[in-house]
Amino acid sequence: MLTVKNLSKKLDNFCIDNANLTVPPGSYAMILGQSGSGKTTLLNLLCGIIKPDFGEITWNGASLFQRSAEKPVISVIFQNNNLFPHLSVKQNIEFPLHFQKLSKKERANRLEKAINATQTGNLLKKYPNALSGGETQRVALARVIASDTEIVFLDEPLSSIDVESKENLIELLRKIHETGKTIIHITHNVEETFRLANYLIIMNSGAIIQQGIMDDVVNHPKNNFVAQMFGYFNFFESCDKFGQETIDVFKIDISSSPFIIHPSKIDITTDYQHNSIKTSVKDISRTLNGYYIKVSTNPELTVFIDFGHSFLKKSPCPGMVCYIRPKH
Amino acid sequence: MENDSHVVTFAKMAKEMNLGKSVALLLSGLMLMFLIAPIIGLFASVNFPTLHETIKDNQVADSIGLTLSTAAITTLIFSILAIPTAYFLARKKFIGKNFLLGMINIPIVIPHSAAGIALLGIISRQTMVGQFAQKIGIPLLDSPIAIGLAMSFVSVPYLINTAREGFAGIPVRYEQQAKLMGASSTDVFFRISLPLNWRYILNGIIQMFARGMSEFGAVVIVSYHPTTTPVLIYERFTSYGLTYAQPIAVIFITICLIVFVLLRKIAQNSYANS
Repeated sequence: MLTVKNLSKKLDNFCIDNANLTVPPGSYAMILGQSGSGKTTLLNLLCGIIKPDFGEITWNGASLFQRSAEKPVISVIFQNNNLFPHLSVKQNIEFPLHFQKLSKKERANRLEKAINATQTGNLLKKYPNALSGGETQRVALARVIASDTEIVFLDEPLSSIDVESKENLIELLRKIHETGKTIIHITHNVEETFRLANYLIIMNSGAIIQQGIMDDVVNHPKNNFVAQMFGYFNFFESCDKFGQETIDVFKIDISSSPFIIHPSKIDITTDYQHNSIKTSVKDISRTLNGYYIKVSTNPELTVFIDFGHSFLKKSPCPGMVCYIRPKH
Repeated sequence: MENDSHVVTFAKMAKEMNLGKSVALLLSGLMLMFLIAPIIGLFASVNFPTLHETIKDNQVADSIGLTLSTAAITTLIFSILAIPTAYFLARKKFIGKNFLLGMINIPIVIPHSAAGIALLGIISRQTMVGQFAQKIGIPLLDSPIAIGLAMSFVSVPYLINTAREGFAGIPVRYEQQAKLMGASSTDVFFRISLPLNWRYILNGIIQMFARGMSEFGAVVIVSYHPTTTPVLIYERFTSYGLTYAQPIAVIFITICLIVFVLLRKIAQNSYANS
């Protein structure tokens, strides 16, 4: 278990304030946040590059930094990879093995395993400046596999690489996770998060907003910020502003809050249906799969319709009358 | 009409550009002439029978051997001290760092005869260092050691400065990454920082060697005999005149040029390989 207790660090124009974190062993944990949310600072604290003003970081009860060089606990891939430019790919992958007490055979095995897993056999003699973005990441991952540490920290490993390489890397990251490693992956990309994570930590302005098992966080966003991240545009801290008609149709329990309904869980039609609210289209924004439509109820609700939806027989336009009700 | 006026303007611009180019060429030509003319003049005016005689002169050969070997040995010995110093100065922040950086450049900015006098103040027979050296049988004054010390005193700042600049240019993240993989500070220095800074270090070594072997002012104060070539040129000039000083100068400059072309070639090859 990776535990972070009351971690604080004040930098010139930024601070991490009293961060608490628990990541179960074997998790694929994603730290999700927008740029400037403090993700990288948290990573630098977690891997010991910057010293905290206060707080402690432990792994299975012992300080994460009381580690021996012979058996390091963490390995890190930073955003710019840090492949050593003066060493060949093979020398880069071998680098961490120099400091671990390994027999010749073990060292050769580790190297072979890392090269096979990442398919970097054809790159061994090349130097980092001759590698593409995807190849660079594969070599960095090979180095991590060779290190064979219990925890792997990754800082935006999938940004700035082409789509094909990204797919290969996602597959590779899954394979590494399946070997039992605890992975802590920093990203601003929600799609990556859904594809890889089983544990989620959400950051904003230097604070951890919500953390937990992936499904729990996604299905029960704690506040509007988290809700918006996953497309829950209908997140209401309290139900005070709802009109009686909306409360009746959507069966809102006014004693409990918050009220959350995903836009895709609302049915919308141009003809009247039983037990629905009459409303009009206020604003439309197109996405890859359909439209988000804001309708003028009190308060406003956002409805998602996909391209196959019958509503699209008439193109949505502002002012169009429509009826909404919860999807069954 | 309008088109014609454009043509006129272009012609005018082209004329102005040509004029600018000519002025720049003239200035650069003058500059280069100033640098090259004395050397060409020296080679052109040398008297061949005297040159032949000088080549066979044992004192000249000995002095060239002494100059080159002392400069090379001291450059190598002082590299061992200068390179870690440069690394320390590039990576560490401490109070008085700027003052220290200024101090390192003192031997470069003061007159070299003054540098020689300063050095003499430490190694002369009256000082503790001088007396101790004498006691253990190492002659400091008028010896290759004195020459080496004088050469290094005025030339080692070039190596420290160049190497420091190089170390400062290496992103710290490579060193941090190596440490995270279990490398000790020594490992980081020898496996990461030193090889990444190899070009700057080599450049600094060449500069230090060049500056050391051509040193006159500081060397002449601490060691007149044995005599380095720059001192011998001066001695021949004051004792026998220009005709006898010129051949040694020609021989020494030729050797210097050959050495530097070779060193640059080695440096370039190592750049290409790195």
